[in-house]
Amino acid sequence: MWNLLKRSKRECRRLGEAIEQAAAKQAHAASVQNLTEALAAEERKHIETCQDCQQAVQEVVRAKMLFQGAASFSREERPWFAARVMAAIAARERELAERVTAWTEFPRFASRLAWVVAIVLLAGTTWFYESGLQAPAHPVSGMPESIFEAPQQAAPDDILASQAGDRP
Amino acid sequence: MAHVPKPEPLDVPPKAKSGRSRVVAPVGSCDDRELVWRAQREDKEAFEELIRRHQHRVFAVAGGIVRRREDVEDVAQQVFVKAYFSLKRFDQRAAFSTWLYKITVNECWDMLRKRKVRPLVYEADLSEEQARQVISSAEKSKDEPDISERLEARQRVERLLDGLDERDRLMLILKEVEGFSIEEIAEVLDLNPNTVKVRLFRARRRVVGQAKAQEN
Repeated sequence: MWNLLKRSKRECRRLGEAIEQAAAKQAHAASVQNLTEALAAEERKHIETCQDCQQAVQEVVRAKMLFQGAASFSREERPWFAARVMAAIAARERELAERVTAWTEFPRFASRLAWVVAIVLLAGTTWFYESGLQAPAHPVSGMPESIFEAPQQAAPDDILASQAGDRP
Repeated sequence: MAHVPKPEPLDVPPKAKSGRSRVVAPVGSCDDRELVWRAQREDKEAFEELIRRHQHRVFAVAGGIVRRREDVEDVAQQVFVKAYFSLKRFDQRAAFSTWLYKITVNECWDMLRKRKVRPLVYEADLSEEQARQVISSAEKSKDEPDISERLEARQRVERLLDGLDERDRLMLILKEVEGFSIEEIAEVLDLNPNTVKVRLFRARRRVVGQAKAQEN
């Protein structure tokens, strides 16, 4: 019994593939009969007895009818497409080349740029040093202002008076 | 144990191993490996040929994820620009198409992540220029149904797929609308082909059930 079932399944699978192939060959398979005509007599006999295979054939035919006549992207002619892609590639290459030349130009001006930077640095540091010398480091006269009040020093006479007062 | 072929070193062109001086073949007759090898040496003509060969599939994958026509075009352009600038790092261990699909899927998820909310914009929102492009491309294939019918059908499909998981949705679009094989879908989504089969089967069953429910 098990062997019989296994064999039947194998036959169904084989038939499924045969149906697929037959369907691929017939672009306009309008009926089950059209599709099964291409199959071997043995396979046709199997379809008559196997319900699953009958359903599979019907579904293939039905799907073919559903999809029939749908506009296909691959069948459209696009003679302009290759030229459009090549133009896009050329534009991209130009863009990349521009980016590359900007960096290849850099070493040519590098020595000049180094001189300019050196001179600017020298001038800048000299000016900074000179301006530091001219300005006084500390205020020459007057006390620095503080936000705290300085403690007031006592006059020497007051100290003597207090010491005299302590003596008996 | 399966024999794993060693990838060829980058310095050797795919078809010139004898050391003889090699005549540069026209790009149209080269295979992907050789075109990639040439593009890695800044041969723009070779890269343009790679774009021409793979743009349809990139558009299909991007269209399955992003939906908005102008976004699909932007993503596709971005994918090829990215591929061009990282081509030198591509060591050709995998097929160029696989590598390109991965860039496409990542680019689409990035765009959606940036937007956070994906507005559902259907074909009615096309700009005049885009509508003209669609119509002119449709006029070339007279045997197919009218463009407005096809756009309407696509909208209907998109609405039906709204309830599905993003990956299942992409799988169904790639299989049923764009005509990818199971192996190609597995390559795009980096999945095992058997997993793709199972998920496709379930997704299809769900969509058919939904369509039946809508009819009832």
